Amino acid sequence: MVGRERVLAPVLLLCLALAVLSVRLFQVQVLEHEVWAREATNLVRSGEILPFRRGRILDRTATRELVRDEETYRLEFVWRDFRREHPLGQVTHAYSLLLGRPVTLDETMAELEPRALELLRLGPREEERFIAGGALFLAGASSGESAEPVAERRAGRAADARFYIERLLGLDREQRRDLRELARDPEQRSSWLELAATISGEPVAELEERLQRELGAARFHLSLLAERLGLEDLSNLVSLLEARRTQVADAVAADLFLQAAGFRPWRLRPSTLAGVLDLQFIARRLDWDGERLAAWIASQGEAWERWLNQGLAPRILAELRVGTGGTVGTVGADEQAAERMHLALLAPFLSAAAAGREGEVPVVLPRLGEIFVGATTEGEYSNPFRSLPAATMDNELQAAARLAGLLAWPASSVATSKAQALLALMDTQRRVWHAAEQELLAQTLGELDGRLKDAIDSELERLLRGAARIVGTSSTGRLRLRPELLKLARDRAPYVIRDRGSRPRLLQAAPDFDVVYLLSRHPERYGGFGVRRSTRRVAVAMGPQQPLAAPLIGKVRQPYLVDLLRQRSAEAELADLRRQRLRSERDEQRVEELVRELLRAGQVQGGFGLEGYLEQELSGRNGYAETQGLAERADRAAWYLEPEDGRDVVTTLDLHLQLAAENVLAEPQVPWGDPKADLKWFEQPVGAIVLMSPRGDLLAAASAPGFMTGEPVAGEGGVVRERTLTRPTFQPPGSVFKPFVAAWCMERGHINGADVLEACAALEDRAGFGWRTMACHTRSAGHGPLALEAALQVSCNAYFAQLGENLGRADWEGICRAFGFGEPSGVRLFDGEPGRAGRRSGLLEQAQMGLLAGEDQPPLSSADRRRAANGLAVVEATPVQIARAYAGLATGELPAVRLVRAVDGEELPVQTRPVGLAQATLDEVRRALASVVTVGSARGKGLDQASLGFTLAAKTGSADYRATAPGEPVRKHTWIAGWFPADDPVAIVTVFLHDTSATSSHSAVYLASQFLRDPAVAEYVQRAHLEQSANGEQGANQEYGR
Amino acid sequence: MSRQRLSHDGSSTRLIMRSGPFSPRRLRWGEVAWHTLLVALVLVSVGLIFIHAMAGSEAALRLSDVSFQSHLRKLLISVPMVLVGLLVDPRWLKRNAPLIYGLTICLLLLVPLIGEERNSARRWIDLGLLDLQPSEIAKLGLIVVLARVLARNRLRNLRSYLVPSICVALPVCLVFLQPDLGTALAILPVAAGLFHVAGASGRVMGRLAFIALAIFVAAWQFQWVEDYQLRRIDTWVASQDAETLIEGRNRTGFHVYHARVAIGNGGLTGRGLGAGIANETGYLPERDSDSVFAVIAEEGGFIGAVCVLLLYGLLVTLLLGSAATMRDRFTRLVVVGIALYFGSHLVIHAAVNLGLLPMTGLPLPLVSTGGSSLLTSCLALGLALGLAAQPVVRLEGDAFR
Repeated sequence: MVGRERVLAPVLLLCLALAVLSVRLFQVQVLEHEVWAREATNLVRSGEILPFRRGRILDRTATRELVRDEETYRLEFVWRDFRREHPLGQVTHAYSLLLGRPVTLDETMAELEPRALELLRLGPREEERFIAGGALFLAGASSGESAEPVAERRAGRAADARFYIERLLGLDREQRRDLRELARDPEQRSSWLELAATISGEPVAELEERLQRELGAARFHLSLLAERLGLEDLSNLVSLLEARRTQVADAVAADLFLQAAGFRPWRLRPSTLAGVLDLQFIARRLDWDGERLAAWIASQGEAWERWLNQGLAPRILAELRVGTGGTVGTVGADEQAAERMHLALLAPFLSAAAAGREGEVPVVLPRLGEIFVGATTEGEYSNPFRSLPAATMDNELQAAARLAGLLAWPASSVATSKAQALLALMDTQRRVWHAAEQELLAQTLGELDGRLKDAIDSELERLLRGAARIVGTSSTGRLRLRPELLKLARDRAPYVIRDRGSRPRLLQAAPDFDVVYLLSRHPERYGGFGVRRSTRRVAVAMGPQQPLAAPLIGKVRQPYLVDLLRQRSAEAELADLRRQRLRSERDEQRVEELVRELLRAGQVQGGFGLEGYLEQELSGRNGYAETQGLAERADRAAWYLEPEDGRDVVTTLDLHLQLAAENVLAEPQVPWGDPKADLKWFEQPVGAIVLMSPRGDLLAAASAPGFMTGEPVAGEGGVVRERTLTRPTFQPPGSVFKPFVAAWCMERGHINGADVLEACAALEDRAGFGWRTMACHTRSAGHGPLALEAALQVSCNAYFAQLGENLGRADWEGICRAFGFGEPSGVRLFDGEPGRAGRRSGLLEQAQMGLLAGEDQPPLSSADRRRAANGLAVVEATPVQIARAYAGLATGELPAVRLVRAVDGEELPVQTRPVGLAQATLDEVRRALASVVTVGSARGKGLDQASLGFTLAAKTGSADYRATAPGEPVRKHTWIAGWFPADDPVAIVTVFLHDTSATSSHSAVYLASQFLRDPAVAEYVQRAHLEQSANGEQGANQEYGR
Repeated sequence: MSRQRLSHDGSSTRLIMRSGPFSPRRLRWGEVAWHTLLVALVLVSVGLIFIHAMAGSEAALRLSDVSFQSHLRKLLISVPMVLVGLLVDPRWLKRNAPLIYGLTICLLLLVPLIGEERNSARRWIDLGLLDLQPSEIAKLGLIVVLARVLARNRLRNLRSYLVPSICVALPVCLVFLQPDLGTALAILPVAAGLFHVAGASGRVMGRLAFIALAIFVAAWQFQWVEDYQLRRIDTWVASQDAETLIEGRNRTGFHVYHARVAIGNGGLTGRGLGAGIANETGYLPERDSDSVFAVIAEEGGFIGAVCVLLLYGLLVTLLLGSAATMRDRFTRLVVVGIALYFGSHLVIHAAVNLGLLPMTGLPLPLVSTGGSSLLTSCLALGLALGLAAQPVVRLEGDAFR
């Protein structure tokens, strides 16, 4: 048949088209299958980082915890679950949908039962009418009639409302199907309640009653929860929930705006948003009325202000630091400093694509011409930022002037100095910035933001004028977004609503266990509420007012912003790998590595003290868990990487002894009976107590003040500090240094025990007694001729001045070396270890000493040598250094001080080195010290055997610290240091008082007595003796090696 | 139906029959291409099955936004239209073609006045029971009137192109202004095919195509087309590269991206009914109408998708085949037009979902949900089957070219 050929052509074309389609299908479905399957997988895959548990810090018995990670809970609220599962949510949301305005939870809660029943008394007929545009009456309000039911999404809203009604009725799946069947009957006049009754086979009245009961129960359970949360009233809880719901809705609206417009709503001023743009698409989608929309617009502006002032400024500074590789040079040498700062300031206001290019393209402005109906892109917007041609700056002033120019500040000295201050921000090593600096930065950012917003406003005005001429501006005289952009927002809306609604929001950070129990036991009563486990670092052992040994143990902190920014590229790599559908083994390994090494959000790190110093040991490594499929669906394959917990650290501290020391320092007994005592010091104690085992284990190390009272105190009394290892001020040991000089001189043969020196006589140039330039403390008469023992007993300055005069540099160095002065005590066990990169931070120790000044320093004058022998002027020490030296004196072996005994079960070695002086020498000095408390400067102060229960060998010391007004006594540091029992030491003690007016015999001794009389000390001595006799067969040589 | 009787003088040998719209008695039931109907029914079932699966999947959205009941209801209204189409009298049809065409044009003109605005486009008129989309009816109207015009017009010279071209241009422009670029473009292959079958010369067709292209380019240059429609072309070009498409997925490429992911995810054998990502997440917009092919491709896999393509192609081919055997020029052209209607929709719908054409919203007749689309396709199908099964009354002078 002719004509057939003509028909053939379309057939052939069709075949061709089908072939092309098939090829394309093959390309996409088979060749590119991996790519798209990966995307599909990622749409439903979720992974989370599993946190590790940080190691504990334990006492010396390894059984009592000082600090640990504790499991805590967070009470969270998920709005989406709440509105789907809880009657309050269901009724509220259904009302909002049907009435077309935001009904609050508070409103509904007030009349939950009646409102719910009124909702259920609607039926399919009312629904139909509503969909067609008719009015619906609920709770005295009306949905109003609508001329454009389709535009108002009535069908969708009705369908949504029906969902909640079905849930409210508590129907199962079958019953819901039946309900829909019945509803489809066009003659249907029954209400939902009646239909439900029909389906479940119970009379309507009974069903109604049952529902009332259930609603009442729901109200009761919520009240219970409110009570357990400490919120007193149910209405407080409901208000809290409503606030969270508002947050969710605000976030959704912001997302919708972003989808449609391509930028965030806070880029425009709230007045602009409200006055110039048509935002009905948001209001319609979320069932908001004008008031709610206005509230949202206002909140966007507020949120931006907050971020501008508090979040943006530090972030810019951190980015600057990271951008320069973390090290910052000085401004003067850096000719691009002004440009860098300018770009950093502009960065939040420039479109990202323009970064690095020459001209600055402001964000939002170019887009405005493209997104509105009827708007044209004719006419260039005016760029509110400009750049100046490059110029070399060779000094700070020029750089500052240039920056001021770039910021378009009028040339003036004020502008230049402001710019200088801004540039100086880049110049610091600090990680924290002062409030004033941050404010300057925030002000500048605010100014730039204002400029951008002005430009946006004028551009919008121009567009509005132009658009008004063309059909496209809506009837309200506002700019309308283009239809395809609105379609985009519409397409994305369900996803956004679901996503934001599903994000848990914090209700309470650490709820009582009651709450946790309530919610875990009856989850069906509390839809939308959830508890999530989390951990926090908790100090378990408490001292008088703050955690035990707090300054020594230290604290954890949040990671620095700079560190977080530095790991951005690694984070991006991890995100990429996580998105891959099928990973090779190498990929999986890399994911492991990255998960282990990256800081996760909220991860804490060691700050100061032991927490900081042992960060590597206490920290663990994160794990990872991955699941596939949406949360609502049943389970599927998972990838699980176990987190590695941190290692426990065993300290050498004895909790009882530490507590005793801290108690003494917190509330020292005032020596009322002593007229020479410095009572003021006892009101505001500043000092330290150290108790050490002879082998160097720190049993107690307490500092005062240990806590802030909240009242302002001047000077050191107002500073909580770790004082056993650091010297915040000039800190000479005074006479406690004398025994070492004595031992050395005897060893070197400058003197022996029998020699008598008559050093202490009347001074030539002034009143008082002493030797040459060194005044002795005696008032009435010189000490006269003294042997060594006596000199130590009375602590004669003149005697030691005479001794010290003859000691040369090598001698001083020898003394220090023998007894560990001027060198680290050993608590920082990881410093100086081969293979360890650099010094760790945390656990600050100050060990230097003037006496060991370098070779090129001039030799000590005689006056200085006299003072040095008395532990003054050029000699400084920390309480731990003193304790260590005394340990060396007591045992003949100088130990390395240990604060950490074991890490994760692995004992750390005890190290000692011989003092290098003969036993005989040391014995003589020991004998002398044993007599100090019986006949010497510390007698009668409660340090004798009768008072303590054991013998104490000690030396007192007072060292001039600072002069006050003329005529007033010079203020001193006072010390007492020694060991007990005198013949068989089990512990070394050092007591240090900072800045007091009384000498050691009227200050330090009282504290020492109070401390050593504590039952904990006696108990310790007893225990030590028992252990000793148990190990008795180990031989005498080992005695001191305990 | 009134008949004018033979005049008694016997001079007139012509029997002029004035017929009504329906002629059930003329229909030769035995000659109806039941196999074609069967293929169409299979396609309808495919649609039913997939939409049922869509509605049943408790999608991530709180309620599946796809309603099987609604689709079924629309089908129940539309399927009887097959019968209606079957019974249409070709002579009545031919006679009233201009009237029908005029009616559809009027409806198109009415849309901006009384039409419902939905999704920022005015395309529907609410008729209570269902929404009427005049652009769908207009396609049929155009086919019918073109068939009538070209039944006499052999397109021998350039001037003879004028009237048919105007007939095409009118609805195309009106639809285009709704704005509904997709439908406007779907009409063009139908018209072109009809021209060709009617006897247009290749050269002239080529020139017409060139003019069309020139208009298109001019539209782009001088921005007669809305910016957003041009943007679609940019998006489309960018979407050819998988990586670019993935990057832009949260912005303008959202719909394209999800369609591509769904199709790509299907692989060779598909994910299974109701188990695809499009249903599981509900992200793919309009998955029961404009993106239904993507869902079929995902859940049926390459094999399933190709089967559906072939099935559909078979339908079109069968229709074209039956057209080739028809003697009467008018009815042949109508059937060809209807076949091309199905064919162009298939190709454009699938091509859009596969990213071979810029995103326009076009349903897949018989498979997609959508009252007007179902109504029109069933009517068209019935019409095509019926016209092929009815005898030609008289042979017009040149039944053959």
